[in-house]
Formats: sequence, structure tokens, C-alpha cells
Amino acid sequence: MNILIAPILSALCAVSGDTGSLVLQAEVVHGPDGPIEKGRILIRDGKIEAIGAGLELPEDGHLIELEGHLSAGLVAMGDQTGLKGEALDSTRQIMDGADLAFGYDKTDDGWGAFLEAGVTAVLLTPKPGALVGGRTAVVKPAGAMVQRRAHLHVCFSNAAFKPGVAPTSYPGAISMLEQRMKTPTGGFALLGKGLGVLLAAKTRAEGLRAVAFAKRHDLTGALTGVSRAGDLADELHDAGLGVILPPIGAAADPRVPASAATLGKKDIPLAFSLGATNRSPHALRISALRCMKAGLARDAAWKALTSGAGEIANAPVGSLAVGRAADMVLWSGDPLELTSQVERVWIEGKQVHGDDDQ
Amino acid sequence: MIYPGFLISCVLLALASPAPEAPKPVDLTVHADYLHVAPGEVVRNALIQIRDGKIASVLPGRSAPDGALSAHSIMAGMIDASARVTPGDVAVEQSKEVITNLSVTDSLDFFNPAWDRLARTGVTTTLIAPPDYNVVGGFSVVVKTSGPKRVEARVVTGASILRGAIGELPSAGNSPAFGRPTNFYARRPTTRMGVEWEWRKAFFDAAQSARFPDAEFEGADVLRACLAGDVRIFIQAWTTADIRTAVYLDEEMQAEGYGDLDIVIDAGAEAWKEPAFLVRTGTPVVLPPFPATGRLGERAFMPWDTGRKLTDLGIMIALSAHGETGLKERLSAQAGYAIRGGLTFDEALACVTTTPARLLGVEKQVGAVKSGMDADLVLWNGAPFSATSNIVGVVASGEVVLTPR
Repeated sequence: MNILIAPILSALCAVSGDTGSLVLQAEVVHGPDGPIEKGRILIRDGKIEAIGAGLELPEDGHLIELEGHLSAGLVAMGDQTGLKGEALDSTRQIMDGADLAFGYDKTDDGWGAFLEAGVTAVLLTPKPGALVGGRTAVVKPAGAMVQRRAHLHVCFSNAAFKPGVAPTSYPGAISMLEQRMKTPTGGFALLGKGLGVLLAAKTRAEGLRAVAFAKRHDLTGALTGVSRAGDLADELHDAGLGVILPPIGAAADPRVPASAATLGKKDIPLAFSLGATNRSPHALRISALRCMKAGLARDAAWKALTSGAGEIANAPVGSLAVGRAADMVLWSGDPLELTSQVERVWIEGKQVHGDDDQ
Repeated sequence: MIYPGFLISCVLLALASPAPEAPKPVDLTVHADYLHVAPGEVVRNALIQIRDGKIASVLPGRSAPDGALSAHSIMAGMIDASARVTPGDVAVEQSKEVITNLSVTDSLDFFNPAWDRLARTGVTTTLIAPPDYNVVGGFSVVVKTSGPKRVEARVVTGASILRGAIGELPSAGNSPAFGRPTNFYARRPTTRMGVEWEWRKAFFDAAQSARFPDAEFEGADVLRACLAGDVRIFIQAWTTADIRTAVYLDEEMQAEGYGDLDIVIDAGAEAWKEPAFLVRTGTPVVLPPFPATGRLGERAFMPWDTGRKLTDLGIMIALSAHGETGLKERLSAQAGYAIRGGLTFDEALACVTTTPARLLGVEKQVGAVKSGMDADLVLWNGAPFSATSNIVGVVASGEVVLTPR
């Protein structure tokens, strides 16, 4: 189904190797500024060198013409794949110096499912269960570490409380965090200096307290886990925070996707989480489509799956912008149609999933 | 003939004194055949005008204009001084048995539908306290039951009120430190006497640290403010033994010269047993909901004439439903039970409006239907608290939360 025009350089996947550059052309290329009909993308050394409709083929390059839509890989937030039982250290309530990056296992079997679903970047987060569970990391499925320290993960939900260990209460937790912010050390000292904050909560009241905490200390980052965060849109907007939405399945409460639409109207940066290790990464697109049905604009939904998620993840992922790693997905059709399937996936210019019938 | 001079004067006058600004139209008008302005004050055929969430005026002897809400009887929104709408044990910090530097405010969830249910029973103002798993649990907060779902919009500024308990609950989860204790519940108190010891030690240490700065500890300033009478303390004490302990604590602090505590007994079911203690210290009591079987929390016994007995002795009492909203448990039903136990209508009305307002320090804002106060109204289809009447409407801060239509 894919037509090869340029000479075949290698028997296996097309690689923009040391020897030259690769130009991919697809029916539609979903570039950073919108879809490009018959768009082309020039890749050299695993990075995107140029993108546009009429890119000329460099002398050392070869062209692959593809059927379907080419887009940036999707970005999944809030996952624990590869961390096994190590996504939560239960010995301490505050672990601001702990990096989840140390638990990342790129050989984990689970990563294959991410590639099959077109996901090329994942934000690893600690499991809720501590007040500060550690620092998040952004990784590529079965690939590189993109960002070792993306956020400090602070839990405002009651999942942070354990019997017999301080704090046992919401007021106690907030007081403990405020104490740490008075004379910040460790991860707290890095907040606002390259380290964002990921505010985990469940209920809207917890979300409000989390957003107020971020506002008080002028922190950047996102709120995660509040399914009806749309009710907090004004506060989120004021605090300049994004929202990571929980997975929204076909049977979700209709107020949940409607809430996402409210956030979209307020231009609040959005992303989707998987929320559990055993959840299919396909849940990302299903969540986005559910929100579109409820009124979330198509552009906002797409951004939430890609570049917007990359911004919230605090890492250079989710976009086909020039200079970025060539993490791409070829879809059989419009990626925001559930009938479209993932045909191929490239990470840093190297095809890692799909047919190799070039 | 009109003199030109007169015309000029008119023009000058008109220029000099612009027409007075028309008063802003009222947002809501409510009519009552009988308006209970406050206990003992009834206005017939009253028209209540509401503007910006406050009562703008109360006009007697008016008929109901078209479109006005109207009811047989109207009284002020009720106040529950022990409403207990919290997310439970996570609303109180238990890592120390005496917590004085935290407030329950940081645990409140105004998205909880329990608030709406409470508002629809006519309770418009509440005192929310940290649950009583600690000896001293921290600060309580006065909040409205309806309005925007944001803390800052719901909090009413009143007295500073610290919360604590005497009885079984503060020691219930603790154990002696046998073997290797793995959590902080291996601690005092494990008994009633331990609870009493914690109270005395807290105030003793706070008083001492005023003289010896090296002994200063976190939260001592709050305890000293209690001793100075600047912070009121609501103490849950169901049984007569626990009420006695609270009074002894107050008297001991006075005898030692440390100060005079401003104590209110909450859930004082057995206050009727030894009321002399309360009389001699002038301690008010918030009664728990009347029990169907007589027995209440911590097996305390409260007969239905408790309100009558305490009122006769001059003890200030308020009624509470502990946040219950069922037809037989809600605060209006408690007032009805108190009347059956011997209180007059006006005394019962005071127990759910003006008296709790005074205990919470918000009597200038809520508890009566007077101009300038919050437009919190309960609309009845008959005489309030009567078994044959129902609450048919509720207005809270000028918003209709239960409509009689």
C-alpha cells in the first residue's frame, strides 16, 4: 500500500542514517501549524530538519511516499509501565529527592502496546500514596529518557494518607507542604527552576486546594486526576495551570467530557492520562473523541493528545516542529477517527513499529 | 406670567442638584402572614424586601404583591452550631493529640450535596468543627450552607472557636506502646483520665511558656489566647462526668491564675444531671439531637424536657441536629421536640436562631429577620415547628434554594 519512489537503501526500516536524509511524504501531514496536504517532512540524524508542502529532495536524500496521515506521536500522561512495584516508596511521606527515572525499564513488555497505539512519549508518575511521591520522568516507549525530572508530584487527595503516619488530614498535609515551602530544599527548591509541579487530586474540593497552593507559590504545572475539573476553570486559568484529564471511557459520566469541553473553551492546556498500568494506551484517543463529542474543539483535542501534552509534560515531545526528534506515527486515516489505525511508528527517525514493505 | 429670573433659577437648581439616583430595585420580595422577626417579635402581613443578599426592609401591614413569594409564616434561617458536615477523619490532624494551629477549613468540600440538603431543611448557617478523634482538634469555622462552592464565599467571620473533646472518642484509637510501636497511635491518652490530663497539660505548658520562653511550643499562643478569653472553646462532652471535667478545667485555670476559659459544651446530653456546675460558671450548652430511645453518643441519656430544665436554670442552650436532614431528625424537628419537652415557641426559636448566632459570634449578621442582616429565611405553610406544618421554602443570602411554588 505504500509506494516507494526513491531507491531502497536498506532492506529493513527506513532510517535517516549517517549516510543521508529521509523525506517522508503523506496525504496529510499534521504539522505544528496545522494539517498540510501532500506535506513532506525532512529528517536528518533522527531530527526533523524541515516540514512543508513543497520541500525539495536533498541530493543525499531519498523520498518515501506514504498513504495516510502522518502526525507526531501521541503523548500519554500518568503511567507506571516499566516501574513494576516501584512506583511508590511507602517508607516516607515526602520524597522530593526521589526520581522515578531510576525505575524506568525500557525492556518492559508493556511498551509494545504503546507503540501499537501510536504513543511515542510517556510521562511516568508515582502511584498516589505519599504526599510527595517523587519526581516524574518523560520517556519514550522502549527508547530514550527524554526528561529525567519533569515535575514534583504532590498529592492533595486522601490517597496520600496512611494510618499512623503524619499527616492524617487535609489541613495537616497542607500545613506540612507550607512548612517545606518556607525554607525549600531538595525538590522543593527546584520548583519553578525547571521543575514543574504535578498536583494530584480526585475531588473538586481537593483540586481547589491544590490549585490554591500552586497559586500561592507561583508554581507552574498541571492538575491531574480531577474528572470534573471544568468546575475549577476560573481558578485554573488564574493560576496558569494545565489539566491532565483522567481516562474517559465510553461509559463515563457525561459530565466528565463536558467538563473537558469547558476547560477547552477557557484555553486551559489539556492532556490525557492513562491512569493505570493495565489500561490500553488506545484509551487516549477514545478519551479525546469522547470530549470532542461533548463539545471540545477538534484542535484542542488533538493538542491535548500531542503538543499540549508535551508542554504539560515539560519535555520536547508531541510536535513535528523543526529541531524536534522525529517521533512520528502514520495513520491509515484521520487520527481523530476511531476507524483509523496505526500503520507505522518512528522514534527518532527510526521505524519501530509497523510494516517494513518499502 | 413666568418671570425669566424664575426660569433661570429653575435651570440653575436643576444643574446644581442632579436628580437623586433612583434606589436600586429589590432583587426579591417575600410576603408572610406572620413574620417571626426574632423570638418574641411577630409582624403581621409583612413584606420583606431583599437586595444584594441582605434584607433591605421589613414593611408591616402589606398585602402580597403579584409575583412575590409568600408563606403563612416566615422566620430567620436556622443555625446549627454542631452541623458535622466534614469528609470524616481526614478533616482532623491526628499525628498529635493536641492540635491548635490547624483549621477544619482546609478540609471542607462544598461540592458535597449534603450542603444543599441541609440548606433545604432551613439550616442556612453552621459551625463546622474538626471531628473529635483528638483531644484538641483545631479551629472550627462558621459557614453558610449555600452559595458559591468556594471557601472564601461561604465563610462567615465570627468568633475564633477552638474545638476539643472530653470523653471516649479522643482516646479510642490509641494504645500503649508495647513491643515496637510502629505508629503514633501508641500514645496517651488511652483513657478518660488521660484525656483530662492532656487538656490540663496543654494549658499548663502554654501558661508556663509565657514565663519561660525556652518552653515555647507550636500552638502555645492559641492556648494562651483561650486562657485570655479571646478564643472560645467548644468541647464535646456527652456525659455528666465529662461536662464536670470541662467545668473543673475552667475553674482550675482560674484558681491557678492562668486565665478564664470561654467554654461552650457541645453535645451536652447529660447537662440536666448536674446543672449546678454550668450555672456557677455560666457555661452554655449545645444539645445533641433528641434521641428516639433516650440513649445518645457514649451512652449518654437525654430526656425530652432537658431544654426546659436548663432554660429554667438560666443556662443558655442551642439545639443541633448534627447535620441530619431526615424529616424526623432535622433541626426544625429538634425545635418541635424541645417544645414538646416544655420549651415555649419563642424559646425554641431562639435555640435555633439567635442563641447559636451569639455562641458563634455572628449575631449581627444572621439569626433574625432585620434590615441589614443576611436574607436567610425559612418559609412555613403553618406555625413553625408544629407537627402539622412543613418547610415549603428557603431563601439563603437572597437566593431561593427551596421554592414554595
